Amino acid sequence: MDNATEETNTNGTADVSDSPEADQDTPESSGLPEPTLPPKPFEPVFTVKVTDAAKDGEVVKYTLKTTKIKSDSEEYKVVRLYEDFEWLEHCLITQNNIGGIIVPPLPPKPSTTAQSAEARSKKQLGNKKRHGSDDDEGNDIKLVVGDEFEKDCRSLEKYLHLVVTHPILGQDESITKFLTVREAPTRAKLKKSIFSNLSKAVGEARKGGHKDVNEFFQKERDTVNEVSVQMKEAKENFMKIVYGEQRVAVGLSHLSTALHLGGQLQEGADVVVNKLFTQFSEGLEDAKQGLEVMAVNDENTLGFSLDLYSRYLEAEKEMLYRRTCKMMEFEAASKAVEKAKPQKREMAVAARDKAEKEFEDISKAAEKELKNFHHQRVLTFQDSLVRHADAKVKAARDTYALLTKCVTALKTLDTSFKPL
Amino acid sequence: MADDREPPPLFDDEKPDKKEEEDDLFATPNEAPKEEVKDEPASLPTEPAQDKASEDLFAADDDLFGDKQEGPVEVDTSKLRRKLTEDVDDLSPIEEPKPLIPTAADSGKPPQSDAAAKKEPPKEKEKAKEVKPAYKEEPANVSTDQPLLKPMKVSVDLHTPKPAQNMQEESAAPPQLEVVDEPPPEMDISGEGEEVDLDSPETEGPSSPAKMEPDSDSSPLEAPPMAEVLPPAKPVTEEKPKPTPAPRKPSMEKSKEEVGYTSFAQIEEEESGDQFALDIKVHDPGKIGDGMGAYMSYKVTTQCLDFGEEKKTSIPAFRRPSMTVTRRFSDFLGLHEKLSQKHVHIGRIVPPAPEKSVVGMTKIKMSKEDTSSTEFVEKRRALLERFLQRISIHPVLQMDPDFRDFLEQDELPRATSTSAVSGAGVLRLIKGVGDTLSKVTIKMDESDQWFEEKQNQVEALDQQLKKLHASVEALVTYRKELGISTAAFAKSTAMLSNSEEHTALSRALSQLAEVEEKIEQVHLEQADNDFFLLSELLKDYIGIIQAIRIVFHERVKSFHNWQNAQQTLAKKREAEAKFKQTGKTDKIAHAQEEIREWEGKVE
Repeated sequence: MDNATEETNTNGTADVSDSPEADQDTPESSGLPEPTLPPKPFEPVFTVKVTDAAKDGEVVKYTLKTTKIKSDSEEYKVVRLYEDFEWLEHCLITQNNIGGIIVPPLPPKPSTTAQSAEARSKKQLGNKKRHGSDDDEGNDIKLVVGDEFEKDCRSLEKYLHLVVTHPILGQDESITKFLTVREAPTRAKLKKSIFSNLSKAVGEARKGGHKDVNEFFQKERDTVNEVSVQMKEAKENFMKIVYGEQRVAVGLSHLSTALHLGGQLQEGADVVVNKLFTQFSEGLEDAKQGLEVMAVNDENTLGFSLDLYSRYLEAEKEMLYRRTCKMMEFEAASKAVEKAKPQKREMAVAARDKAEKEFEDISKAAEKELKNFHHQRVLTFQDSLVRHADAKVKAARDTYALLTKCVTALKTLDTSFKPL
Repeated sequence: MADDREPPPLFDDEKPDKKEEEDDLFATPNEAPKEEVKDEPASLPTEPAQDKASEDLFAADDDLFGDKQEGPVEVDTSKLRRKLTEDVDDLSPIEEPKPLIPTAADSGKPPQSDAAAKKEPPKEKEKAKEVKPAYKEEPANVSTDQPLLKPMKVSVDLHTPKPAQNMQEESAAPPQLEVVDEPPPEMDISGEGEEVDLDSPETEGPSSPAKMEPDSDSSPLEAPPMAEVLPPAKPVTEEKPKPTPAPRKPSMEKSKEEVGYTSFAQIEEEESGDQFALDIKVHDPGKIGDGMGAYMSYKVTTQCLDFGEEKKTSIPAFRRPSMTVTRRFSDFLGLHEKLSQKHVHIGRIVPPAPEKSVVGMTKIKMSKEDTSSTEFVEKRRALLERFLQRISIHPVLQMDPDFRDFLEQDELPRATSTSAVSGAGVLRLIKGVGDTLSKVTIKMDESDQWFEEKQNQVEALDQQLKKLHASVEALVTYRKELGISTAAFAKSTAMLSNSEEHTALSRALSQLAEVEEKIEQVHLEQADNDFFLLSELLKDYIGIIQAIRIVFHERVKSFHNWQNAQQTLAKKREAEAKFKQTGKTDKIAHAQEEIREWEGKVE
């Protein structure tokens, strides 16, 4: 199985008997909950691309392009809605023993309604009314940020990738159906009631503090709690930076337009001033573009990773929580064994053994998963940090080049003119 | 390190000095991030596999990023622009981790954090902005091509008594200035009578920027933009007084002639004998007193400089070559009041004084030591300095005894008329209302084409400046916000790195945190620059335009008065004629007296 997943990672160019090491799925080779099955090649292995997102009325349709790795010719194109993704997640969770698995997190629902678009724009551009004689530039709320589905596409793509490459989840039938069958799978209405969420939260609060038997896990739980909070905060702040950059870019462009439009006077000094202004406004345009590029790049690199992992950490927390539950069951069962009267004793022992086995299974799976997860996380972060830095530097350099040109032009601008 | 050589080829066609700057910026890579990123491949051999995977993910991205980084690219503006726009959609796949890592390392050093780099953009911006306002003032900077020279040149030249034509009536006309309406070419230098030829201002040029340099080095960053912006600002007041000190009808033609001097080259030819300039600095704001009676005091240092000899000489009008006095804000306002009373009604433009800001002062009085109050103090200090310097280069106002007193005397009588709540304040309010009304009601037939044009121009300029000012203010706010967000992000990244177990990642994160902090510094600095260079400048000019408007208004008023006087005179003459006819001789004498009186007024 790990060979198969290796395949996925190396874009299908490797064959089944690829080197067992140098892959994050190596730890999967042993200790899987189905030790009886020999690792078999992961047959329908896919690479998925979310190529497009189109808004149809109020609903966003995503076009998925799937390629089977083994046979490059087979390509599937399907159209899916966000609800289909939710259904897929539901299937994956319910049809697999996800005890020790960290389920990849589904990206949040994209905002399609007008109100949410406005809310987003407000958040991004700020709702400061600028004091100024121009009202069209004054109220930024009027500038609604266009529907950006690019980001959603990427998130969904990443989600599918994570699922597909997961040794256990990737084998699920639902995935195959999801990716290959033209019609969307029929789905039952998923009811997410408030109560279930609430009870979950309460349960988490109650059992979350329960001390762990295993030190490794205890430490892990503590860390993950801490890190997830910080990661969320970092993500928030990072997005603020990106929005800030966008806003400065908007401000620059306003200034540039104002400079450009301002010069109506044609006499004497003003011709020169106009020339200067025009040059300056060009420089500002360049600066603005540089900033925009930076903002987009930032968002796509570090922002993306931060976002993904803040969700992923939540998933990890859930997994650990499940384990904790099992552990408590186990402990309860053990206690029951001790307390049990002889007739019930066998049953209690059986229950306890079952609980113990489950717990052990979960723990083992969890351990592997955790190692894998962390490894992957570190790699992803490295990758995105490097890209982030690269992109930023490049954008900065380009902007610098353009701006120096502008400065030179300004300095050498001919300022002679005929006075009145 | 071979990759360090990559950036310079990018800018081959730039000037050599630019190249040096470039090298400065990119020559000293941070070693730490380089090591950082290099560690990764060593510890994580699975990286190439992962990267390929990520390449799949982002395979929609352009290869542009990777390409452009490797090869030298010509600096072609359009191409660069295209690059920028293309980048928007992509991220480069990291095709070859290894080569990218050194370049990543080399680029890992934040270019802006370099101390040299920090100086460079502000300086460049300073120069750029300084060039801009300098050129805004038309005649100033034609002959040479060094921007820095021009402002100083202007200040020399503008001491020539060109607008002095109308000072015949002015008793306050200082003796040095030529109270003569001659056509510009003949404008001779009085006073010291030195015939300075064209060369000396040019030699002055290098020395004056040199003079400016020590200023900029010693004083905080805001001061140099102020100081350097100011000389270009001086020409404004000079330029405007030239056209406008001719509201009096008799001399209107002459003034036009004066104003119509053809080019500043001619003006530069006759060198001013008044070779001095007053270098005024306002500094050292200090809070005196406590509670509601507290006020801010500023030290005003004046130095009289002689351009010809580059040393302090004594001007006969001033007692000492260099002096320092302590003044408070109401003193400045009092000076402005006095000057306005004396000069505005004859059409001189008195530079606008900073407004009294109750909020700001109350904050200071409450002894709140937060950033907003320090900013406020700084703004005010800069405004006051510019106010004084504008007065000092105005040929008429400069010689004003009140002004001199202000600079010299240790103790000034308390200018009570400027306090916010007082009898004088109420009087001023009423007067202001009257003024506004009269502005609306008096319609003057603008017989003078020139003035009408100028008026329109001024209005248009005002509009434009106001718009620009609003935009710049917004920009500054946004930048400051960006700085704050960056700081917050830096903090959270630092926290993340603390809780991160994986050491290499932890280190990387903490590096990122540091970098972000530096970026924040840059952002804030940029915001400050923007503010002090652009925003304040614009506000300044808006203020000047306001002053111009006032003078225009005065002109309208005087025209109105003149018309009235004429009308009354005509009536009186009629009355006199009637009396003559009816033979009432006693009334004739009375009427004749009145006639004489009104004739006098008409003139």
